[in-house]
Amino acid sequence: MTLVEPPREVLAHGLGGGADLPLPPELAIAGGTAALVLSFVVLLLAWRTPRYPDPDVAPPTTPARRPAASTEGTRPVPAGLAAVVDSTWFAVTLRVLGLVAFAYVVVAAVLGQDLLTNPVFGVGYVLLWVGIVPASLLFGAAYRAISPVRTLHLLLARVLRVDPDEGTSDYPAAWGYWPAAVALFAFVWLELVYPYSTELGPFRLWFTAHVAVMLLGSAVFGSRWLERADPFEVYSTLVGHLSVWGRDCDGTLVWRSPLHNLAGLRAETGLVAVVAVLLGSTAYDSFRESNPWLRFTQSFDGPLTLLGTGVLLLSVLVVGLTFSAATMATGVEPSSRTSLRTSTATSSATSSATSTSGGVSRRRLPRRFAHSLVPIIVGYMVAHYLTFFVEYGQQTLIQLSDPLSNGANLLGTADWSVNYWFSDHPTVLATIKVLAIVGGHVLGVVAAHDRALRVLPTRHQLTGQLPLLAAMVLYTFGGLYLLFGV
Amino acid sequence: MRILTSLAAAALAAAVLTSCSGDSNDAADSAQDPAGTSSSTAAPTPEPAPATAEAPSAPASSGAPVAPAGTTLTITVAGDSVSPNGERLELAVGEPLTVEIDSDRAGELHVHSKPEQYVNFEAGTSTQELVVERPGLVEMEDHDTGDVVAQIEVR
Repeated sequence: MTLVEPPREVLAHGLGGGADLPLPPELAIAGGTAALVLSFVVLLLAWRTPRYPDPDVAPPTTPARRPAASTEGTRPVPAGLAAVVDSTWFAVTLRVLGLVAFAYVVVAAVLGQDLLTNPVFGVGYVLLWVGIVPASLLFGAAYRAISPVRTLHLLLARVLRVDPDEGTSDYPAAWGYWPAAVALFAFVWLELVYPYSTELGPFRLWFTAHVAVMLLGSAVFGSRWLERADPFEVYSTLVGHLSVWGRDCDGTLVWRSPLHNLAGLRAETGLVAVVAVLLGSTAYDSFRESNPWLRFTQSFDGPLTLLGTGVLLLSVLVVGLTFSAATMATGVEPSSRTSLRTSTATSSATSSATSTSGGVSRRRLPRRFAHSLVPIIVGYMVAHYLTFFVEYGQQTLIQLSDPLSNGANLLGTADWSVNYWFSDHPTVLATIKVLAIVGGHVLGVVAAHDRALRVLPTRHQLTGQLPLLAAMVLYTFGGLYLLFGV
Repeated sequence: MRILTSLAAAALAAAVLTSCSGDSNDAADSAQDPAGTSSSTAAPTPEPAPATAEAPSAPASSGAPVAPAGTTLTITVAGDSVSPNGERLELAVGEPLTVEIDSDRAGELHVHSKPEQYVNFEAGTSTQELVVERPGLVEMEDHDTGDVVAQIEVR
């Protein structure tokens, strides 16, 4: 029973056992009250004419993801900076960095030991999965710029002398974001449900399959596949819509308000599924650490993995279905009811759903509002993962110096020690968490309000917002409750 | 935009107001944790410190007259069956937790504090003491079964 070997247990809760204290009740209540009150403040006092563009008002004839021309709140990035960002060497440098980091981690995954101190787990579950959020908030669609699978696809295309954007077939528009939703679910299942997620074999298998599917798909459908199927790229691009970085109609690099950027997200089929997986899985992660659930599962004799899969799926479905129901529970224009019938009859996801008056068919409403869940997701991710990211992220940087667990100090970080400032200041931490959740909620409500002004008929604009507002309050209360009650 | 700004200000004010009531926590943090490290009196650090808490060295300080102050957690291990099942405990930062173990096998408890701590135990009864010096929700897990014995709210 000595501990000569580092511990290599299968942790019941994945990486990094230590968790945050529950939110203090007074903070949770204050946060909930603020969210509720601010929701109605937005509803009653905010602007009455839409301020942000809607990329779907004009039928999507081109695959460009640029919002329609509206330059309010947009200013060009200084020419010098734009020149750097747009330069080939900048793009190539990022790609090389991404590929080198990828190769480094592959070496650790293939030649390293099956120990929790192997940095690959921290790289996958912390630096990549959680790190996508801050990186994309700061820099826009950051993962796309460094994505090793995208780089490999570009290299392959160059070797084969084909256009990387063109595959052998067109990407079926009817698939939309569904491949990404499935891939995201596969990842959160590995991370949160699968009991051996921190063993090297399954971890390697998942990422090998991921790289294979991404490369094959992009060979068939071109790089469009990566924009719609790569879970990390889709997640990053989604969160990147909350950054200040954007492109104008003519491709100029611009700064614009995050809400403006967010509204430019294209509403495609499967987008609701993507946001539901992201929000539902984080809620599940909070829930599975709760004391009643822990006690129940530990006395449960049945198939635990199946139970976990079921509850994860249920959690995603609850978000997806409540959101869809809430966005559809509104009056729509009579003309769009007709278009609803026709589009149901043809059951074609690509049929034009935009009526001449700008109204939208009911079944297309969920995806038109899906962007408004992104700030709520980000707020909840910050609240849920802040300490984990900061502290286990440092731990991972330390472990990265010794990828093969042989005492090496390749990067010079092995002697660092983790700074536990956040854990040592629980009140600051709890305050940040509540601010993140309430802030995300308010941005979400504002984004939904603006979209409602655009897509709902005037006489339904106020009442039509109420169900979605209620759903958002439900998510926020649910999030606060999970962080408080755990 | 002005409305947005005032909304943000309102949210900030709400949170700041409530956080004032909790400031005593932070004051306590800094007072109690000058070194910023976590330690354990009886339990070893991850190093293979052989002197660690082998139960015989503190041979069965047997149940009854243990130091009265502080919290006590009684753990019973019978093969693969470990109790309690995820018991919730509250503990102050730096307050010793007395862990009484009655086991029919040797084993190891993982204490997921920051940094982690490990408590080895032998078959028989033993008593050990544990100190967590950093706030958080700390799980105590039996290594062999992976069962979480207790979740300790350390404040």
